[in-house]
Amino acid sequence: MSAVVSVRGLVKRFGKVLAVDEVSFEIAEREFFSLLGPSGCGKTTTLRCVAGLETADAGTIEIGGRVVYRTAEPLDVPPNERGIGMVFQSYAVWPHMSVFDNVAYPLKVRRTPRTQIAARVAHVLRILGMEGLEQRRPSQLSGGQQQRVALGRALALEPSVLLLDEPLSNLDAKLREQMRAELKLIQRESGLPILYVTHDQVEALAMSDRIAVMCAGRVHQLAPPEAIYRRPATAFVLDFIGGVNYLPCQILSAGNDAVTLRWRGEGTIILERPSYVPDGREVLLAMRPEDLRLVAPDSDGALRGRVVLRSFYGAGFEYRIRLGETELRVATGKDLDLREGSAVGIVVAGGLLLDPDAPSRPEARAC
Amino acid sequence: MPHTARPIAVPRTLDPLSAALQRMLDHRHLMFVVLSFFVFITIVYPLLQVSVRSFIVDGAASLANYEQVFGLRRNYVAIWNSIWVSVLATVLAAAIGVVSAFLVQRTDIPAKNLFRALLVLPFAIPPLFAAIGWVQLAGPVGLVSQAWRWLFAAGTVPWDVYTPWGIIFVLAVTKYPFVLITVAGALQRMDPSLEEAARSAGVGTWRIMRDITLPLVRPAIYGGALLAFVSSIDNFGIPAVLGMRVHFYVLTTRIYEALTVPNMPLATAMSMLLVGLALVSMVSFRYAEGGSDKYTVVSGKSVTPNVVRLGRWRALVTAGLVILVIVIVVLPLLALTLTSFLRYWGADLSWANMTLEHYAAVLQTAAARRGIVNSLLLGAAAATILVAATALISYLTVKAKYRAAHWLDVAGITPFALPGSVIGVSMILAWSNPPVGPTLYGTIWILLVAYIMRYMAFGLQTTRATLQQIHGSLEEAAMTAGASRLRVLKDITLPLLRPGMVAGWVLIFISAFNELTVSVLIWTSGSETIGVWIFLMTDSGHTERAAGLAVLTLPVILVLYLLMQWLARLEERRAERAGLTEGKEK
Amino acid sequence: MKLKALIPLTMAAAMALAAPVSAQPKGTVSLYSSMVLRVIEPIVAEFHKRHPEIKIDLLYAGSVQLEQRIFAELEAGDLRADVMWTANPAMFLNLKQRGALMAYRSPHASAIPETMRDPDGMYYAGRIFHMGIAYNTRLVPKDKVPKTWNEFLEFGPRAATASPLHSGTNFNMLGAFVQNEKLGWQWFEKARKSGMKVVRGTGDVTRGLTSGEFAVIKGIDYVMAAEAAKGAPVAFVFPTDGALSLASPMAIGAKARNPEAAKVFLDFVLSREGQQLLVSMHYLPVRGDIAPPPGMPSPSEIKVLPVDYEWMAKHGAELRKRFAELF
Repeated sequence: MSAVVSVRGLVKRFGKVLAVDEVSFEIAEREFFSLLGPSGCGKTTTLRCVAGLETADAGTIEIGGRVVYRTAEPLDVPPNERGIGMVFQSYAVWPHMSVFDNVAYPLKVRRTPRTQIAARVAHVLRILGMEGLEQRRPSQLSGGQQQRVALGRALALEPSVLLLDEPLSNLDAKLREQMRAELKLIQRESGLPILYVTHDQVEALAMSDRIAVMCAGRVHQLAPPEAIYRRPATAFVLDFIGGVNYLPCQILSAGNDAVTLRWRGEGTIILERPSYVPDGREVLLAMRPEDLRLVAPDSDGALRGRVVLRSFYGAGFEYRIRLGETELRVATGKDLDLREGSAVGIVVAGGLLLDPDAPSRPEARAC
Repeated sequence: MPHTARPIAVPRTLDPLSAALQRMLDHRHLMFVVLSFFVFITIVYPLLQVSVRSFIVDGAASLANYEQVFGLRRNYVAIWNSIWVSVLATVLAAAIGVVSAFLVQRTDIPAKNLFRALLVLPFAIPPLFAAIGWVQLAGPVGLVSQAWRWLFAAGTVPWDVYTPWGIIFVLAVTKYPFVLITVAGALQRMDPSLEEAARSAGVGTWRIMRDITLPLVRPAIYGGALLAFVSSIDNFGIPAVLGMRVHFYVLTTRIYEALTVPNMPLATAMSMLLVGLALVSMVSFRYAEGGSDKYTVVSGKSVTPNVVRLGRWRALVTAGLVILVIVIVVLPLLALTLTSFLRYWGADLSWANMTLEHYAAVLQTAAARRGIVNSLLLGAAAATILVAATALISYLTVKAKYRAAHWLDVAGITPFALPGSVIGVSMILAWSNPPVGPTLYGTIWILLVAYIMRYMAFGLQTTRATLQQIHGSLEEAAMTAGASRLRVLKDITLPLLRPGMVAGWVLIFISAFNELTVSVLIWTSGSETIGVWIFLMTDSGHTERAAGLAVLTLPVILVLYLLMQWLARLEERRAERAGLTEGKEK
Repeated sequence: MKLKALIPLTMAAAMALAAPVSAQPKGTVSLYSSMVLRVIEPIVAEFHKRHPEIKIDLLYAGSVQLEQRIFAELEAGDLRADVMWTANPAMFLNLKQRGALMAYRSPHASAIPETMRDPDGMYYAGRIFHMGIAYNTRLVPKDKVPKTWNEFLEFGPRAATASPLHSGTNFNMLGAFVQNEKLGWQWFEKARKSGMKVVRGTGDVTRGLTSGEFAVIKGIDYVMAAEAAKGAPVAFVFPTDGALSLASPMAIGAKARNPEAAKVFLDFVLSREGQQLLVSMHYLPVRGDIAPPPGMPSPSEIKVLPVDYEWMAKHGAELRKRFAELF
């Protein structure tokens, strides 16, 4: 097994609160691995346990083939001996040191010869496009530049794994996108495995090789981004990743290839090859905005609704369609331009079936 | 999120004994043991020496002293007076301190450095002079009162210094520098993006002050206010001069009665009430502070604090500040200076009554000159030792989350609430005939030990407030970068703590430089200090000479303060220059 | 304790007997004094001129501070003073009872009235001063100067005194008044009604007088003399119904490190030369064989309020309590 990081059965409590509950995962070489979840889900605590900033209550953590934490013995290698690089949400760039000194610090601590330090720092700063700013103080840098310094500092030592704790959340939208791409490029070039913590699903989906979606201290699903999006393992994952519409339906008939559903006795929906069919007659149909297609109001087999809100997104429109008591979000291309108030037909092209008592309302969905 | 105290790494599986041994060697344990020893020797041991005696009457254990304290109604009145007067004085002092700190630190008023230096000066006026100086100014025949009557052709003035309100006012205008110094430091280090965020949200300057800035510097305000409160409740001179003649008593003026007898056990018993009050207030301030993570102002993001442009208010605000400075700084200093030139106290302001003879007398006294040198050395030594020790204590309590270290914090702040005489007596009892170690009493070192005991609170408060502002991730980043905890302390925590250490140093130095009540009990010939001489001269009827000596010390303090400001700015500028020239590696 | 106190005593006696006349005491004498610097420094200087072989290590402090220090040192078991000279007779009574003083028969004892020394030779008055009525010469015309303590009260809130709770001299004054039939507590009750101000210490009351805030105060003769010398508009009178006469006792510590040299200093202060020096500084002499300073009445002309210090020591707490309730 060529796992660079291996976490098994990790448990962490804060008083009575179970912050991390039996979390296990492995990060392979060159892998970009993300922990994704809402705030308070335990993702940052997990990361801090891996870094050694937090001491777990149970479990095993290995980094680079070496056990750094094990409850049984007890064994707990301090963070400074774990051979990691870490970037904090708040950058944590030391204000009393120059850019050079910030990046050189991990090398200095390890008594690297001066010439080697200079060469390594120059190399890292070149990768990050920060040449010429060596003697600046952090207070003279922009937020993006400070973020680069933090990244440079984490990279300076050639760590066995790079730990990133919401590193982009303090940047503005444009810079965030730019840094996202750069981070991905740097990772691809260096081949450095990354453990990335974020609450931003777009970020996680775009960058990761694999994602562990967490909620209330538990991993709900561990899979590549497409699988997370397309085949959510739980109602929580479904709801947390991407937009989702819910529609209560009744099963009319369930065959091998397709299930026929009825909504309020008026519309008929045919769902092909559903991954899961609940036992009962009453079910909940969950659909992504792009699972829905808008057609002429009088089209065959279409549900009939009314446009209540039209939003333009450059690449297309998002419509909010009123359907009985529910409202559906539908994404379309920019060719379909409907006026608010107009009647419209809706065709369901895909979706997932859920138990009706599976948490379906937003307030009940807190996993 | 809190990270709990944790045993250090045990690289390989060890038997429990070796593991325990390893833990013992953790630098935090070592630090704790060394600091505990330091606090025990300098505070607990002398405190025990004096407090144990309050439970002994005629050689037997007894609560008679405490019965005597609690059996008298007037003592309850005095306690209540102490509390409400000190609370109001602290509120007023905090208001003055916070507003002036904000103005000199964060706005575009002119001559900021001059204002900053002037506003710290009242701290340098010997406490003995604060009260009598204000009597000289605003008393029934005071200079300001006379001017008022002349200006408005009035028979009386609309104020009376001999009231609780007079006490509150004078306490506030002498204690506000505690708040000013701590808050100015915090404002300097504050992340302006927090304010900018509010500004971009369309919030007005005043609301930003109230909703964003003020809450962010709250630990510093609490820290300064606690010092102001405790030193108000512990102040004797001001309520004695202003309150007694109108039969208004506070705890310290009652304690002084017991000291006059002298009934030291009774005085100690009453002083324990002061200590109790100080501890209760400290705990409530700490409680109000809340979790330390709430106020991390120095985050990982680095910033230069921005300046609030006052615009059309600039002239008005500046004028207001000038008036404030004149009233609370210039006038008392003027009174002090005038006294030193007048032939006798209260003489008419005419050239015939002016004389330089008091200065000549001061400068001719070898002991007074020696006093200046001794005070400089003792003040600097006490400040340096205390800042080093308290920085580490605050590190243990705030950053290393070392629970046991809280006793150091509590013990360290306790003596500040004790009247100087009680500390002086505890020093004699502790060091005149110690069971082990050197006999410090009778040497100059007793003064150093006494100052360390008396002013540990200053160091604790300033370093604590600063540490609470430093975001935990700055230290964690160093740990993940490969630095051991000790290395993190040296490379990251202590350098970032420097502003708090400087503020603490200034507070301790100036206070020790002028210290009077303790010194007067324990000095020996050859170890005179400025405070001792000011007191002795006042006591032997040379108030004018004492004023002269006090005036002579003002430039010393001012120069020192400016030097410190200059050094801080020099460092800042060096950093800026380095940034601009983009120089080679150092 | 008694035994301990006896040992140095007998030793000192033995030494005094054994010492040949030529063997001059020398070394350092530690002197604790609350005599103001203006007084004590010339005395020490003059002593040094006559006895260059003895060095006086002077520790000056206010009466209250010195007392705190002396008792704290006793408590710690190490009283460091060879000679103590302060303004509070009650303290010496207390020290004598504790066995902290050394008996010494000074050759000058016969020249000093018995009221000015301890019968056992434990202490001698080295100086006397008086508390009477002091007034501001600008505010009080010659014909309005109060001659009695009751006239003093006619000045109402413009009359002031230092608090007996905070000033030893005023505490003795309180005792003297209370023990006096004509004055007694009634005088203080009257004072309270008339609005007499009670301020903290001698310094406050004196500054109030020189600045004109008060017209009359209970003042101390030598303090007023010093203020008048600076040019302040103040004067002092001995009230016809009695002034307080206070001895400032001098004693040698029971564990004095250099008792022989201490005795030499004590003798010097009590000698004609020493007292003449004090007379030149406007003090009445403690010796009967020296004329008073010019302008001062001779001791026989001054009506003195008698004070029973032992009675005061017994009733001290009561006196303080009653005064505190009144003011």
